[in-house]
Amino acid sequence: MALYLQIAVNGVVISCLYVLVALGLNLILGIMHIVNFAQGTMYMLAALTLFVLNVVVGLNYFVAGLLSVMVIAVLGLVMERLFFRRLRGQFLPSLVMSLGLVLVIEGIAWMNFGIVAQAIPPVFPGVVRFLGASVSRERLVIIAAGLILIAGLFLFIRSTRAGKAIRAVEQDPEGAVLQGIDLDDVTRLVFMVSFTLTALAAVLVAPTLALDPSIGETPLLKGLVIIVLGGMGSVTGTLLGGFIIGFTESIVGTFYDPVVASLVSALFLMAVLIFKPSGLLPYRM
Amino acid sequence: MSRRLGILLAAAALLGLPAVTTDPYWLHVLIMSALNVSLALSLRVLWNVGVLSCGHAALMGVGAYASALLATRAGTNPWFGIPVGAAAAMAVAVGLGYLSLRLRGIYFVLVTFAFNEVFFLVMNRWRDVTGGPSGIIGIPRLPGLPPGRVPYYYLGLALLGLTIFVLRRLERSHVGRIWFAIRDADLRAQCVGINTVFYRVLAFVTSAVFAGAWGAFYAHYQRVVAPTDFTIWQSVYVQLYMIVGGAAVFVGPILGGAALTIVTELIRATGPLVSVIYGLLLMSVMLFLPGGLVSLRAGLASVRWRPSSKPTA
Repeated sequence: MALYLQIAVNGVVISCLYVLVALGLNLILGIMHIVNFAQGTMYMLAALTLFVLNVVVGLNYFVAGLLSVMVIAVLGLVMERLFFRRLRGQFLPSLVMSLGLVLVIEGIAWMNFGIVAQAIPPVFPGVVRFLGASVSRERLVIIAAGLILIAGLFLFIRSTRAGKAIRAVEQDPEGAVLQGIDLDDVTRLVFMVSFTLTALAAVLVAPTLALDPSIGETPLLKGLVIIVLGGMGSVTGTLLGGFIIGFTESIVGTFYDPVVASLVSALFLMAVLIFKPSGLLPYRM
Repeated sequence: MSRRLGILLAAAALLGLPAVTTDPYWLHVLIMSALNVSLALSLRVLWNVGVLSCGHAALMGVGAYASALLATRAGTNPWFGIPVGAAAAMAVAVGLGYLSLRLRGIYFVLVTFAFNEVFFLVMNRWRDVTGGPSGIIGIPRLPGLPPGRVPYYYLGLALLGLTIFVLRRLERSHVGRIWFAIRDADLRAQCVGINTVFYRVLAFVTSAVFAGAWGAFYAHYQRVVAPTDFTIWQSVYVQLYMIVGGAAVFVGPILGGAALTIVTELIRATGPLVSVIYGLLLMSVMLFLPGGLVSLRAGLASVRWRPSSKPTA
């Protein structure tokens, strides 16, 4: 019983993390029609910035976290302006651009950060005992914050003017422009929101991780699996896909090991792409 | 005429090079250039039908592991491994291609991305067969070759020549025309009765055969293969050779593969620095020189020489 509870809690933690990254990927996919391979890199960069500010500079975790999210959000704006805007509508060049960004940023991170994994001291130490299972406070905080963020994004996309503008551009860019929506504004907004979500996920999870410049690869892979599984462009699909993948990983990771869990995810991605490329909850206009 | 002369001179210079220097380091750099050029050229076959693959390194890995396992476990003649490596990669491409080449664009990029990841993880994990993260060591040399690097250099040149010859002929053949037709107007190609899925799979299989054969060559040249030789980033590097050189014309990948391999060695960049330089190159080509390095020449030609006839492809 305790084991299953443990698996369930882990599953929710992992799901929240991946859903946040996948939502970021999905937003950019919807507007730009590209998979931004640099999303995992931004996750890594947020975690490393947090480490530098928190451990090296010695700032409080919350201040450092806020700063690092802001840095990544601004970086999103800069990247959109400098690199992605002029490639808008060109599918392969934008894709290749995002791969180039990954090579540059990860290379720089490896050169400066070194190969020794680092850790951020826990922010919410201690465990909670519940039905015989012991769950660290850290994980409970991640779950709560993750769920709030996901709900917040849903409200934002569904109900606000800006969210409606994003959906309008997703469905029909030309129609949206004719309604007076500024395409550049929406693209900027999407990059900022997407990078902010990814950075928030990284800041939340960073204290539970061994940090090195390769930590972005797993969330990227899982994020890809999730958006494909859920249906590209579909936000509810992302949520469903995220929980399926999160729980699969938690179960496989507990009974086998993380490598097998990654393998299962990658096979899952291939299988869905081959047999049901529209995903579980196809996006309808 | 002058173009044919240039090719002959280049071939003569490459063939005569060991008479000038037999420095093993530079021979190694040239062998790796031949490998990278061939990989980029074979990836371009797929690009010609309008598809980008993120799994070329894994296909090369299939050939390398197949040949290495055959030689170390079954003890067969290593020469046998080159066709076997090509056949293994071909078999994988037939299966994967038929399943997934109904999809294009981002879907195929993701399928091959996932395939490369699966290959890497399986090679890493399946210790009993693949040796896990440390890979397969003690792969025999190709028997009958005299010792040293020079024979491998000539073998590499021969394979490179074969790759260039076959791919060039193929591109200019009936099949090549169909490939370009599919790239330019998929629906129209279907309307005139072309089985576009078949021809896309054919392009994928062609590119896989060369990747597999070169993988086998690589295994018997390096004599050790490890999963890290065949990661997704290696696949991205192959894309990089093709795109930085200029994917639109046949000489593009040749130029890109050779220039990038040799320049990387000249500046003695390693590990992360290579990745930063390559990334910056990729980004600047995308922003400022979408046609790749070959378009530099076209730009110069329009200034200094009589505009040549329409560039091929």
